[in-house]
Amino acid sequence: MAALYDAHGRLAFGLAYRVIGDSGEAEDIVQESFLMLWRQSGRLDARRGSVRSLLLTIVHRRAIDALRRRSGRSEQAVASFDPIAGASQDPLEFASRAEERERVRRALSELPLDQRQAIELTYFGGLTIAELAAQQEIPLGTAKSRLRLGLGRMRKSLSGE
Amino acid sequence: MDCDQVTELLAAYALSALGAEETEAARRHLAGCRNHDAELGAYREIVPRLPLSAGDMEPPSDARARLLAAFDVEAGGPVAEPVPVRTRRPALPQPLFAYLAAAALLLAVIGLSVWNLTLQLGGGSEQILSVTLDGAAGAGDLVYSRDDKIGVLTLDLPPLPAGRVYQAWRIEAAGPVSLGLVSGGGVVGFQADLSQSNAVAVSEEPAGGSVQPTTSPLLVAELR
Repeated sequence: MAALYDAHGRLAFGLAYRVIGDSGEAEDIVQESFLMLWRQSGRLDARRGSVRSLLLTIVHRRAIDALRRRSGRSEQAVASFDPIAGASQDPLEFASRAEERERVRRALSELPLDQRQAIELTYFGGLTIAELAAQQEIPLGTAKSRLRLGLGRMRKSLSGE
Repeated sequence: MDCDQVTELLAAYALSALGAEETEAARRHLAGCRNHDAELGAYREIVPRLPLSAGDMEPPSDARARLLAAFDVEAGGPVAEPVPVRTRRPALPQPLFAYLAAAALLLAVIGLSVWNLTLQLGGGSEQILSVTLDGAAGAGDLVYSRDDKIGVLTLDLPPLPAGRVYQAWRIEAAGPVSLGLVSGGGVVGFQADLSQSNAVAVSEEPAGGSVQPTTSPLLVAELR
């Protein structure tokens, strides 16, 4: 557990804090997430990176739920994911975290502002597209297309196309 | 929800930015439509990387000690309350049998030799469901957090020939709903609400998966 925390604790805390914006709550979320992960240790293959993928998914989910509870919004539905499939493309397998972080940041920062905001407000802010459309005062179709265009551009940027 | 609508919403789906009903509608469509696999796959390479843009952040200096202390408590076993454990083996409970029959999954029972079900309440307020599946064909473990609505299903089943996959299902009153395809590593992670599910099952399906099970479940575990 100590090794796991030393390897992923700062990234997990960074994610939780980015979403929730409160150090104490972020720590609680990270701690609960590590404990949950520990309960299913042995079922995951740490070498394949699935631990990190799953940890970050749990941290993100918990942080978004806490944020939505705090703001009186209902909990959000979530899409399914495959930690092992994600792990096979784990960026840490072919680049250092610093390099990969820089690539992701660059890919995000190079997006047109409206697309970047759309991704950040949904992923880190926990908004649904309907809430995004209302907050940005844009049609729902525009909110959908901003997310789609934004992720599409990031895909090209990250795959070096 | 039709193909065009799902295409429009796919990025929002990958970002978990849909409401509950839209998410479920999209999930049902995606379980039976392979038109979106490439695009969804691409999104799923990107979304898990988004936390990297938040960057590392140093937690409070004593956070590590607090986590390890909490871990020690947990590793030492139940602290305050005894852990309720419910075990059934090997016979199928009648209500589930009736349900499975109704769901046209009658043949499921043939493959089941041993059935274990353990319900654990984790420490604190978090509820962790841990279910062991045993069957003639193999075994499986499901660990599920009711709070997070996140689960990981790990399977020990024989390799399948090309063109065949294992698919996990949650069984609800309205019928089976896909939890996803099991990876080559024998693992499927999912985020789904199992509160209305009577059981979790695994079946063998054609590559790409099925909208509804087309073969008898190899493993089933009752959840209630």
